[in-house]
Amino acid sequence: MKFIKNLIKTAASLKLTVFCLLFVCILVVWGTFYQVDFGIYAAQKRFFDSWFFLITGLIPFPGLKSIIVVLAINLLASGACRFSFRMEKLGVFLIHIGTVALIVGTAFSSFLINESVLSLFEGEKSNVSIKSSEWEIAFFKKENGNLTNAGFHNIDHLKPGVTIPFFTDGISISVEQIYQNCEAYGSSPHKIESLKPIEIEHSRDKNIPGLILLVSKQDAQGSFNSRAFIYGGAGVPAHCAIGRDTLLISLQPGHFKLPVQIELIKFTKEEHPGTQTAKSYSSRVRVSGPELNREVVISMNRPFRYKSFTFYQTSYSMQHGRTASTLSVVENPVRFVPYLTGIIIMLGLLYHFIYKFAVSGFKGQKK
Amino acid sequence: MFNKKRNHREMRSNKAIRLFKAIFSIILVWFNSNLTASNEGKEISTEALGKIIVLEEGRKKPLDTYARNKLIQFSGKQKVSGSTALQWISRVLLNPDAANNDPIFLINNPEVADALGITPRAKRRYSFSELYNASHKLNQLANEAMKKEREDWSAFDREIINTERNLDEFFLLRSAFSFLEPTPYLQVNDSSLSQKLGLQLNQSVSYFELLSRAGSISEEMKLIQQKGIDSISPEDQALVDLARRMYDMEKSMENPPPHLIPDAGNSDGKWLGLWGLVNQHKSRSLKQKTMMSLMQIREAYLSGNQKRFDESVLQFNNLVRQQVSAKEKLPDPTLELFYNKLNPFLHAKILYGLAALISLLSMALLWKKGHSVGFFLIMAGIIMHTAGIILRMIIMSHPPVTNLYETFIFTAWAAVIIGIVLEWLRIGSIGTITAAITGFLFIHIAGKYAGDGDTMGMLIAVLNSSFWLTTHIVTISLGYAGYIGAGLVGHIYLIHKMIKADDTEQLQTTFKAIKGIFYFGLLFTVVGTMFGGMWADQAWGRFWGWDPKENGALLLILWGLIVIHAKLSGMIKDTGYAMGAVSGTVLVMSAWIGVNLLGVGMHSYGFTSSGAMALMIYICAEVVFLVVCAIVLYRKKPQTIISR
Repeated sequence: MKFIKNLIKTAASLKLTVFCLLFVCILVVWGTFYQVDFGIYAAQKRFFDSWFFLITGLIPFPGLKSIIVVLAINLLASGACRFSFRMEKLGVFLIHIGTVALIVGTAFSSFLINESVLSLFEGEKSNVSIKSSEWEIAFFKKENGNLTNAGFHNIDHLKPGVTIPFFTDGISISVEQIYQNCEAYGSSPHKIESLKPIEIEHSRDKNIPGLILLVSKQDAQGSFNSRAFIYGGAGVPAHCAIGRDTLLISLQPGHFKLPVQIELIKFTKEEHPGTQTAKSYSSRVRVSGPELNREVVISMNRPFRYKSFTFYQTSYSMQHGRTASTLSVVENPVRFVPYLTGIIIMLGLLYHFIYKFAVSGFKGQKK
Repeated sequence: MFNKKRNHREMRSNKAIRLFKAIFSIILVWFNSNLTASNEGKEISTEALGKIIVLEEGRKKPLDTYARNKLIQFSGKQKVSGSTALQWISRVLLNPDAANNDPIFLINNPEVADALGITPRAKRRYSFSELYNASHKLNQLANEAMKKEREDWSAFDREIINTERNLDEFFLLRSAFSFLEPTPYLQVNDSSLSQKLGLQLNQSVSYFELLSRAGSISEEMKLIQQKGIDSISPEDQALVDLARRMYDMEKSMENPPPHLIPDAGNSDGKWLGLWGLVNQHKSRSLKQKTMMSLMQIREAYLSGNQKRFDESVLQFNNLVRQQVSAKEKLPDPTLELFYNKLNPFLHAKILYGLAALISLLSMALLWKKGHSVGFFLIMAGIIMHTAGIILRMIIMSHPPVTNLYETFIFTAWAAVIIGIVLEWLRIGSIGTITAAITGFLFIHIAGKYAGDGDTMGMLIAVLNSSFWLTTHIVTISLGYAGYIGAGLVGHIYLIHKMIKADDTEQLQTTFKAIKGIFYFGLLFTVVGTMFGGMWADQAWGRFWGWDPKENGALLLILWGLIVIHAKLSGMIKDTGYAMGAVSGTVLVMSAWIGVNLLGVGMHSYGFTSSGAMALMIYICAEVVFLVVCAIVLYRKKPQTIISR
């Protein structure tokens, strides 16, 4: 009993709060300097999106996730042990409840967020966006001169020996080798003959993955085996002949199906006179879906929201004399969480400040 | 007895009023002299010229502002050899040879002067004549530096590249009317061609003079093109050669700044400089009239005819107005000219500096009136400071903070207001000292950023949102001001405690002030960071991205929470809290300037290389101060810092 009491006392201790905050400080400073050499993505993975990481490959150090969990427990235990509602404590209560909600909400939303990019030329339309942070294998089967899509498969959890589920009868596909970053060699992009692994870059978008797949088929005509070299930078699918069938396999950035179709009508870039500095850029698009069909203007600081989806103006590019507008697409069913919790924390701080300092803090100071 | 006391009080009050009146009169005379100071001396008054509108970096601004920005960029100063920036630029544009010896190029590193073969000067400013003679060496060194990666540039390389850039810009400015100068490059060496074109043989000719014969040259060129290659005479060859040299000259001086004339035919909104105009003036009558009025301005300036000068400038401005396209708007320069003349931040800085000096002296000498004088100067300073911020907001139609320069100006303003509030609450004399020191220092730091170009520059697309600029940047600047104010009072508390540890009552009052201001800083940093997250969500599609600037703000919040919770848990006492507040200022400066020096992330638009060394020195000084405090106070009373 005494042990549990001591445990709760320690969990609710303000000293633990201070130590946790100090650890977060260390991670933030370290992570910021780490970005200079390794980029934001690597810093995020190592310090802020991890439970633990190893210093010099040996000494474990808590990542932000572990510290946040301890901090959340500390906050809840502290609230349970010390909380007694009084008007003067309302501000403190709001600040802490807002912080707990922010931590829980952020953890929850990290599982639900989907980020992708949609690049369109003027006049072009699409309901599929690209998830540049993910790679997928796309399978197409060539039958009677026609191509049929035979499925997509995310490569994140693939490793040598794993069999990829494939819904066409009789064909089995397994992974012989997977490289996170590699170079391809062969007579043409269609015909890659070998893959050579190279050093993995810290910035994820600089890595081009490659796969060696074993494709087997067994039917009445016999059993067939083929090896396919699939490279992310090939630009065209690899042709894999197996028996009478031909499979087209490509390794491409992940795709994401949107609930609406977006058509870029016009992209406008306004510059400050006599300069090439953008004053604003915006895209006039037609959004069509089951519930709407209208024109929308998406510009910097003015996104378009549809249900849990938000479309942002990110950038633009010129290709072959045509302008392409790039929109970021974020699906976040709980995007109100930081707004709501932020407002609760701000109100709490304001109340506490007014109560503590403006009302009672300097009482009697004026002579 | 009572009457005697009252008389004594009245006498003291009258004395104070007389003192304030005297100071007020001095300040008024000083401001008035600055507002009315213009072009006394031998030179013609160029005040009218200052109203001409120039298009630079997307903003239409008076020539007066353009001149000030250029002079600060070149020399780091607002005046040169007793001339105002406008007088100087008038000289450069209209009579460039007279400006050749103005010491305007600031070279801080004496090694650069050594490498260029010029004698290093104590004032570190060199003239065009000096640098022009060393331009070959300068180009060589700059080319070598440019071969390196930007991050590998040494301080020497940076200074060389900066000097070359400034020299090039100056050269273009002084070449504004160079089409009027006869040059041997364009001389005609063929006698029959010289007769045909009505030019003297083997004599220097100006580009403008040749341009007046452009019709004849063009006709002759057409005839030559119809001839066979075998029938081209030496005269034809000389004409082709002359046309080529004219073309080369036109290309090399395509359209240098300052850009003074709107060009409705230009789709990207570019304006014409004088060379751009001279190549168009034959084709359009309005452009021709504009060219003539510019030449009249020059002639009047050179002949010292004030009346004709003013009339020509007026005529030029009218002609410019006629050429502005319907969608463009020409700004009224009156308010900006007033702002330039008022120079509010320089005056506020001087007033704060004086206030700091007087307040510190009054503390050291126990001179009570000194404190009142200091406070009065602070009030005069804050009026100037506020006027400056409001004027900028009206001129630019923007919120008060849009760039690094303005963050310092605004944070200084907020810190001074905090000091005035402390004074109003009568917490010793810390209010005046806090206001004076922060006001002076931060306006001074802002001045360092003014050298990077127009402080009223146009906003890039992502920042072009008045709502978010107001909510996020203003609140985060208030947060910075709070932390800095608390840090400064923290310094006062620690020094006071080291000198007079038994002055418990005053120390308690000062500590309360630290707590209040520190909390104010934390409050606004949290609010500002939250607003920043919301803005990032609107603009970039994510609330938080672990960008260095975001991390800097988070670090400030975490530090605030650590100090407050450490005090609540009893881990630190009042002195520890004061030390935490002092450390907070180090974190503010690191988050404010330091993260820009990392050069990564989406917020690195505020990057300037200047100040990195100053920041390091400041951080080291604070660390030394805290270590000394800790040793001294620990020796006196260990339990005052850390709880046991």
